[in-house]
Amino acid sequence: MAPKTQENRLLATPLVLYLLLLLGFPSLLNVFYSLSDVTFETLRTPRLSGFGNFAAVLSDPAFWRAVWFSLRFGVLTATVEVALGLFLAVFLSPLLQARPWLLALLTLPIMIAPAMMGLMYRLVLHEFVGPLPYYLLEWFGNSPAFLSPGWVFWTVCVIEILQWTPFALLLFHLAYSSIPADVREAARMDGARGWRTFRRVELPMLMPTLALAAVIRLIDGIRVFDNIYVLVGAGPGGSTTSLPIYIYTSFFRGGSLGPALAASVLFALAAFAGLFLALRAADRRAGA
Amino acid sequence: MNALRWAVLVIAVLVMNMPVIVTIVTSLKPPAEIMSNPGLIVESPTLANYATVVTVSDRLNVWAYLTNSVVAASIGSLLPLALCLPFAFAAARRGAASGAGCSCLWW
Amino acid sequence: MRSTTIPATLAFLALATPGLAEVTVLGWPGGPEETALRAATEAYNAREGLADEDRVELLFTSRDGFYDKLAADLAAGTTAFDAHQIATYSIGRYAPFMTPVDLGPAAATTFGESVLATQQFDGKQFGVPTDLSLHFLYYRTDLVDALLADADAAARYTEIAQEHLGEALTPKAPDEWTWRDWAATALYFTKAVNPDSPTRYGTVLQMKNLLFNIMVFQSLPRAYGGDWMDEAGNVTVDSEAYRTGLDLYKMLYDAGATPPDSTGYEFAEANAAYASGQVATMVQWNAAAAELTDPEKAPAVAGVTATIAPPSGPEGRFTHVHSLGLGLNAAAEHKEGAQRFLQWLATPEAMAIYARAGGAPGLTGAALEAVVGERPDLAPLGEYASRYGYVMRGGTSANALAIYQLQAAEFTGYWAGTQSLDQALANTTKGMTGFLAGK
Repeated sequence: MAPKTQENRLLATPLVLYLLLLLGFPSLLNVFYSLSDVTFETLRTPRLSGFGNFAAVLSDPAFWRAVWFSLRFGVLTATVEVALGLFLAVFLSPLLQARPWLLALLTLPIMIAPAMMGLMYRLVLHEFVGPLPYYLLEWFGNSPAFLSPGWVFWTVCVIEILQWTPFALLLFHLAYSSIPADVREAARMDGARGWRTFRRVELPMLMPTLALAAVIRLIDGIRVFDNIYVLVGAGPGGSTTSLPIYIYTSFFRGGSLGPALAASVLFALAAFAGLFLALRAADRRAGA
Repeated sequence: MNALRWAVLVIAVLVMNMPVIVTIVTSLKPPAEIMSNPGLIVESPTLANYATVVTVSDRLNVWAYLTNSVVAASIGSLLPLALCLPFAFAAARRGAASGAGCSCLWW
Repeated sequence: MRSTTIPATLAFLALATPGLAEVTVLGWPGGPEETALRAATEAYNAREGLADEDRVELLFTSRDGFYDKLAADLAAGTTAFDAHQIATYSIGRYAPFMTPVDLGPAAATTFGESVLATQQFDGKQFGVPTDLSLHFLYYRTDLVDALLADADAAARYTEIAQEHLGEALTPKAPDEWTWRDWAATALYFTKAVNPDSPTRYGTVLQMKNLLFNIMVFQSLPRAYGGDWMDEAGNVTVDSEAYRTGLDLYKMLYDAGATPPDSTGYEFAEANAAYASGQVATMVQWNAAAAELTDPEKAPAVAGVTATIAPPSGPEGRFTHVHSLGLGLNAAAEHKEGAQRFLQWLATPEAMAIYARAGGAPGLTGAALEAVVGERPDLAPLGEYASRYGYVMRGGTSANALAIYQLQAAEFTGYWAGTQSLDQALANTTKGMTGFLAGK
């Protein structure tokens, strides 16, 4: 074996070992449990029982509601965060170039734990002790019931968007400011200005960043848990149950643990399939 | 045009950081005022809440929690670096468009 | 997306250092129970002649997910604590991982048999009942007195009752209220129904999808004769009693008698709403009494709030009652030391310290006499528990928590309008049948 290959293998070993132990082993255990009959009392003596748990999960309407919620939530928040982040990064870039410390103020929300965000919004949106309903009542005479069934989906979407747009903003700002100045100069010399420069020259250069930001935010949106759970729990009638919240509540529901783990295996498979297809598409685009 | 940029910046900062601002304002209010005054203008500002938090008591030892956070964050940022740097070096040397690249993205 | 519980449990096991020469007790965090337990433990550790290995150390986590974490820890056979918190509705779930405890002869005289029974399962004593939890009806004495004294107001009240409840009710003293009187009062004190109302809302209902909120709710169907099962073991949730109760809550929500955000409210939010002075009545846990009658914490309502037992219905007057207590971990390493501590807690002296520090034990006889001067609210606590307290048939079974969670999901769905009453009750019956059969 060539010495370089051996060296490469050696360099790769620590990460591979770590992943095998802390990611591989629990995942295998998960798959095993999802195919068995197991409860909290029989954690160490599970009985393999085939695909019964998967059947139970796939025929549970609550599971499909959770899937639908996660998909809607993920797509909506990712789209708005990417669009808003792009707009802010490009529009504010002269200010940010001149005073880089402004970026710290803009990216403060992503430094806060999502669970903390949920807790803080419990205060902000409270009808009696929160400032938002108070000022809305003062200025407009009416304040929407943020956590009521009709509004709660939009409330949690807005909370997620407000917290994570700075992430997209950061990515876009870094990409935008690394577009070399001569590209812009060349465009200017060719007669393009403002919007045309952006649309024809800069935006295509930002495409990889856009794809990356969209994928990351989509994945994070689909697996949202902390801020929703702290703010409204599973929601009245389970209306704010995302897929992870569904897995969590059914895990601790008492009785068999199998269905919850089956749901998590299905989730992982779907995510893996989605990611694989997305990467293939990206590869093909890059190749062509 | 620049004025518009500043306006957009200020609005963005205030709106996105609203919960933090509200938390800070609320932390300056005594408990009775929290119940009766939901507005952002504090009637009788006090630092008593901060004094309670900073004093170590049976119930609350914020220094221990801070230490926990620092330790967790350090491990969480240094460990991946230590594990992934050599791997990335090896993968880049071998050429990024291989299977190693695919598994790199599998977080 | 993998479950993070298994790695978390393994990590917790690794951290559970064996061989601590001390008894560790995991208590219920974040409230008067914590302060009281700390005071009692201090007194215990200061006793003369206490062996070093019997010293008690306390462990507190947080309320969020407490029961889930406890389930994971006990299932993993943790030795991180020797005694831990349990409640009447969770003993069935944790009993397989616990050892029954011998509380000694003093316990029966301190607590009385019915209170001790709230910590029993399958005929065995699993814990010492340190705090009694039941519900009060909190109401604004100033507003109710004004209503009773004003004839025009009474006429308006009767009008509203006729319109919304189909019955011409008249204002009564709160202690004589039925649930329909309470509903009529709540509607009267709601601005959306009665523009002259001094408060914005007549009541605040806790309708968050949370199992504790169902405990608050179920005294209402109980007063109409509702129960989880009949003697034959059939699930009787789809009954007139439950339908009446669920419909009453839904009617109040739709009429605007409770804040529209109520579908996200639990203990803290409801208290904040009441303390703001914009709510006239509230059915709430007794633990809120200390906060809502304290002029420092709730200046707007402290002086004008009274507490009585919940209203009555055709089948009587009821309040859900359960106790919080401490029991023994079967995998504990310092079982005898923990047992001695629990036995000491069951004595009148220990409970006196506990009560003075803010706990709410259900005491009787001489033990109650000793503290009733400083804690006058403990007298009605014990009285209500024995006169009005009930436990649903099946309420201490192994899957009781799961049943409460199921009811929370289904009932809040109906209240929020995401499903019909028939659908909600059908789902609940189906789920409960499975849980009660021991699935």
